[in-house]
Amino acid sequence: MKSMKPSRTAILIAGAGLILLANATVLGLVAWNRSGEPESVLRMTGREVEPPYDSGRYRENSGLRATLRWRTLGKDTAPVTGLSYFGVGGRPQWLDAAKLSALGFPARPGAGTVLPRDVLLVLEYDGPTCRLALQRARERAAREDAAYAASPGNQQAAQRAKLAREALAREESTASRLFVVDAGLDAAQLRSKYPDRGRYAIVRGEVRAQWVRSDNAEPAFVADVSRIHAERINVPHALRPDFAPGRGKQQEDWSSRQARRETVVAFGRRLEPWIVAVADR
Amino acid sequence: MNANSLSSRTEAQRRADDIRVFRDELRRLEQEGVLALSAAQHAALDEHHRRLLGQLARQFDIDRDMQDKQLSQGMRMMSLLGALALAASVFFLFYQFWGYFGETAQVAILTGAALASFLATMWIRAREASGYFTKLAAMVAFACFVLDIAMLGQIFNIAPSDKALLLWAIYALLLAYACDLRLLLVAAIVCMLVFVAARAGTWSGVYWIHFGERPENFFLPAAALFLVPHLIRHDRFPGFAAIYRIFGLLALFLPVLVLANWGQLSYLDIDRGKLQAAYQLAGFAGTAATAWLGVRRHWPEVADTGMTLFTVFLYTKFFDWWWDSMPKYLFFLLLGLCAILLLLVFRRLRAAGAPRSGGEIA
Repeated sequence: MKSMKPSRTAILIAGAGLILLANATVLGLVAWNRSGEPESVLRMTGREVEPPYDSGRYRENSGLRATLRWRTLGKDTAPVTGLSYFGVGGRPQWLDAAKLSALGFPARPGAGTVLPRDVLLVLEYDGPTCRLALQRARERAAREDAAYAASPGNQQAAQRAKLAREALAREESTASRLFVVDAGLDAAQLRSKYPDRGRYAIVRGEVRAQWVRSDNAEPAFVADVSRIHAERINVPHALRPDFAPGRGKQQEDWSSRQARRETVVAFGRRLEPWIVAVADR
Repeated sequence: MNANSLSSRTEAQRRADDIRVFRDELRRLEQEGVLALSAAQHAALDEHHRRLLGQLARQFDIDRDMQDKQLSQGMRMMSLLGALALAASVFFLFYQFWGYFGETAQVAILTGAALASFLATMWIRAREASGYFTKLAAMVAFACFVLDIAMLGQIFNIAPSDKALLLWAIYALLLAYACDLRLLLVAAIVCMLVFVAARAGTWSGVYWIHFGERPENFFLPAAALFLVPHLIRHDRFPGFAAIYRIFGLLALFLPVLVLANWGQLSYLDIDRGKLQAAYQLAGFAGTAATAWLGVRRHWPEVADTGMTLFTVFLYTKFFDWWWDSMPKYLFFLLLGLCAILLLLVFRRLRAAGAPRSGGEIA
């Protein structure tokens, strides 16, 4: 057994060395992430890169962080409600049993809970999934309008038609056009499947799944994309004026301005993002 | 032994306390007629103690009597509260103003603050015998380093990683041993435990932040923690060995308690009821064995922790059995009666143990 009492010089060297080494390592990783050509570059608007709102919470924190608003496209069977809004998370159609197995989820139910897995996600900006979402919204609005026209006194039909029209309006003007369209464990494999680096970005995220048992059917996995690790993006100091939160009526003008504003987000070798530029469209 | 052979304030304080206790016992023995020193012996003894205590006070700023001790306790509490408040202040200060600086200035401020606070801590430590201001400075230094790494992650959008915990653990350990600070040792142990558990989780493809959802990840690091005092002597760091043992036991038995109630969190793919029963049994047996070990090896912190955890397991079981099925007054009456029964059992054990030890205090 050893007894120990470090010398003062050793402590000084160890402490200062640790601080400098830690900082050098972190900054080195940042430099490597941003070196060379970015892995992908997406030019998005305020619909996808949401600036912070001034809720008062930020008065104690002068930093600004924009949020990536992403979503997934599920099966077109969900009822139209006021809450079927854009929002983070979602149960995509492509996240089936085969995909879950490829991501490392167990093939059969066990006794324990299934933990979320760390995976690579493919973000698609303003691509086929977005157009499909818009088409579905139009078809649904038309369907609900026709149903209401067939029974004009029906309050429920009127409500569903109203919600469907609102959902279509959101889909056309404010909903995010950034969708998670695939997941995998191999970045090179995903990139070869989605080669357009101006439309597809690969990021780190998390998929969550649980076995659901019902009385008469086989147990099935219910899965969703629960998070993207790089969802919050720090706004560089030089670009702060373009992102500063608005207030009141000023906020209304600011919001529509943000919707037109193009934010260029690059993703580096470590799949970590940074805001490159902001410009009016 | 003289004052120069002592290397820390804690050792010096222990010596001063021993002198005080010795003097009190000597006075009692003389009053009871058991022992009588001559006047010359008394004078030599008093002179020796007076000189030694003076040296210790000059060198280590010790408490010479009960009044000093009580004041020191208050100062220790103030030092802890002050340290926590200053650490929080560092965080909020940076959050308030960081957005107004460019990235280069932010990095310079963060790195500079971490370095400067560390050097200041070493400077204060070299000049202050009591340790109160050293504790304050060390906590601020730790806060600055945590802030440094955390904020670099935010500024450059680095995905949160468990590796930061390793850095914080190493730094806290360094400060704990450099400044003889048990609070920072606790911080280091907690960071290290979370890091190891998180790493074990990532090996199976789980995102590290879910480390708590597989409590078995804590078992191996808990055992390692408990063994640290066996591998490395801590004579010059009073209280450190006890902290390693206490946290080793907590890191072992709290996960067992969780698994005894929520077996679905286990790695083991077996019937949940059987698994929970097995962990409950392991919890009872383990904590009882821990209490026995603590008594046997004269580790009071191990005995106390074992007995406390045993009681927690017992009360948790009572809650499962009876909370819904009996009136609350009866439930708490049963708990109280159980506590009395345990007291009687321990008193019987203590009485059975007394003749063998011959009344010696080990």
